[in-house]
Amino acid sequence: MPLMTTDEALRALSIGVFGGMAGVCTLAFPGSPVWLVPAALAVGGCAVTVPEIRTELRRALPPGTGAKLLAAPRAVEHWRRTGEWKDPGAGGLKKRAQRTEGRGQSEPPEPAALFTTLDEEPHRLIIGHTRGGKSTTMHAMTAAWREKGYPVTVCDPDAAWGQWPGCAVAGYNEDWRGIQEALRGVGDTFKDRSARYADGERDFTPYHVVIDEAPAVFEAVPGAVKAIDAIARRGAKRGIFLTVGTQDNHVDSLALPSAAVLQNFITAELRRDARGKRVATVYRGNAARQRDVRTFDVPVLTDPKTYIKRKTEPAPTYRPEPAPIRVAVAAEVRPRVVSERVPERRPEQDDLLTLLLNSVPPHQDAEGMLVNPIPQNGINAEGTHSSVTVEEGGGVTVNVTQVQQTPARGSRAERDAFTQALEGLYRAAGARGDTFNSTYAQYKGTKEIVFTAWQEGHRTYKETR
Amino acid sequence: MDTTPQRQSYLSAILDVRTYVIAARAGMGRADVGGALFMIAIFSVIALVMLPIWLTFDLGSTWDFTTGLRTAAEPIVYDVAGRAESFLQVSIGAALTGVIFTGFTLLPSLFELAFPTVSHPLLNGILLASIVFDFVTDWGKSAELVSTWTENRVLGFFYTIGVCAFVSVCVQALLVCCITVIVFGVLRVISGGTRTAQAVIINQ
Repeated sequence: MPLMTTDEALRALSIGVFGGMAGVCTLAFPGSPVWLVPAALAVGGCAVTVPEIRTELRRALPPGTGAKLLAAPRAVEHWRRTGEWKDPGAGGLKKRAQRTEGRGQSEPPEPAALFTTLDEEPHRLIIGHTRGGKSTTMHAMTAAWREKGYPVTVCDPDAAWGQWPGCAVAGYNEDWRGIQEALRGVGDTFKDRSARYADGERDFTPYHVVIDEAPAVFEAVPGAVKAIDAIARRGAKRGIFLTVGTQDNHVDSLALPSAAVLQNFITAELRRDARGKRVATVYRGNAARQRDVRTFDVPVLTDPKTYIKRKTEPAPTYRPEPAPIRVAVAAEVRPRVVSERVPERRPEQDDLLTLLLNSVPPHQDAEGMLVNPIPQNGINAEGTHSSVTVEEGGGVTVNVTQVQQTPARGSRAERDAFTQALEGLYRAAGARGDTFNSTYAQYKGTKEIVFTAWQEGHRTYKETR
Repeated sequence: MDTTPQRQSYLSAILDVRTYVIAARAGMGRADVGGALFMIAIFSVIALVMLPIWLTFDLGSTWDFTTGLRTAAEPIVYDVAGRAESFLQVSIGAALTGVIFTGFTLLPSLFELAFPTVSHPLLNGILLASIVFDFVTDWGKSAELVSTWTENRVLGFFYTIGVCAFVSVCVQALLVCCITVIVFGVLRVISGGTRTAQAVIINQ
């Protein structure tokens, strides 16, 4: 929102100058009605700042006689928005006047205003029948957001390869599971931003979630309605914005729990007018209680089909952001070292895991020694073993299990037995052909000792090959 | 036609006194008696400072300016007042006369306060005319004040524009805010502050 619009500045100028002149007249010519002349000029100047009146005046005046002057405020506004000095309505006015002549139609606002208006509200509902231009409109808005560097997640069951450049896309070939994962990822972002919101953060990077063919998504994806309802009600505070494409906004077809949530959307209904031109009726509120109804020409937009590429590799599956790590501590006692293989993890998950493990403060044992309660993928002095499991959707579970009595604190014989057991594990791993690094990541131990054991096993492996 | 106010800038939002009224009501709605009394005291002092300025530069100057209009309307106003008095058998004539005469003076200011941002063409026209009229009527007193600051006519002209804008917009808006807070504060004190809700719960 600007500090002051061009129209308001002109209004203030008109009142100040002409009103002042009227005031001077009242003092210079007391009792004379001459002050009414500048006062009328002040009111007239203010009236010209009303866009509707200005448009009517431009239409009434012959071309060239002050029309450019009347177009100046709009050009100034355009310049303030884009940095380019140009009247966005120039050229179109005459044609529109010819088209609407004798029909009693008012001139629609300039087309570029459609997207500006739709961006005024946090959430948008784009309504249109098949081939009505929903996806094209949403595509144009998405491209603008991507240009600004905002992250965009698109859930489109009809998505094609390359159609949504720069966006995280889910739903290729009706991949409902992928859409579910995408919405789960959005939910995780929502939770993360909620925590930051509670900490006082308010300046979030806008994150746009675009859902095309919403009724089909709501019907096929469990939990989608609940997720969308939550974002529509509380997402704006967290910088998460929705754009939903549908063929109608009936509560039944959208499967929404109530119509109240539609009050949070600005709606654009796309259709063709009597001239065959594509127009958008934009309103706030829901279909039954429309507010601030305006009609815009839909500009000629790039067809999203032009972005579609021939598939040369499998369609990418949706990869959500790494989910927060959950730690589950198992209390049971296992009889011996558990040698679970650690699943592969993504680097960012490793970072998160390290952060988590390092965040657990060590505690002092009975002898006053510092003990790390959760070691990473190994057995610590306390005999605690941790294993890592990657869940569906990117979640990571760390299972921490108590194993046998701590060898470090046992007798010499017990410690030797533990070392032998560890050497045995390395020997076996070497014999299987496992690399030393992967084995060490799993079992740890003193490198000089365990490497020798691994080499012995690996020699066997080489000989058998 | 939709007359919902359309905010396009911070300026229009600042000048929309209704938002202050809503904020004052919401703020006072949660206040306890002590808080409400404190707010009443603070805002009363501000209102007391603003009132003479507003009376002098806005109401008084408009009153002077509309003397001719009042004089012209005097016979019919008194006639209406007399008829009302004889019809209702109560002494409302004087009150009615006062209301009508004061209304002449207050009308432009009331229009400015009632619909500062509208999209209805007629209301918009009335609003613009009211603003200009108020500006013109306030000019005399403002120019008188400015004449004590500078003798330069051009500079004085621009100073007067500023003073007029200040008394027509800022002082008036501040006064309305203060009065709103005082009114809602008094209502809060009368209704017992937030204790009322607690008492209701205990009774239940």
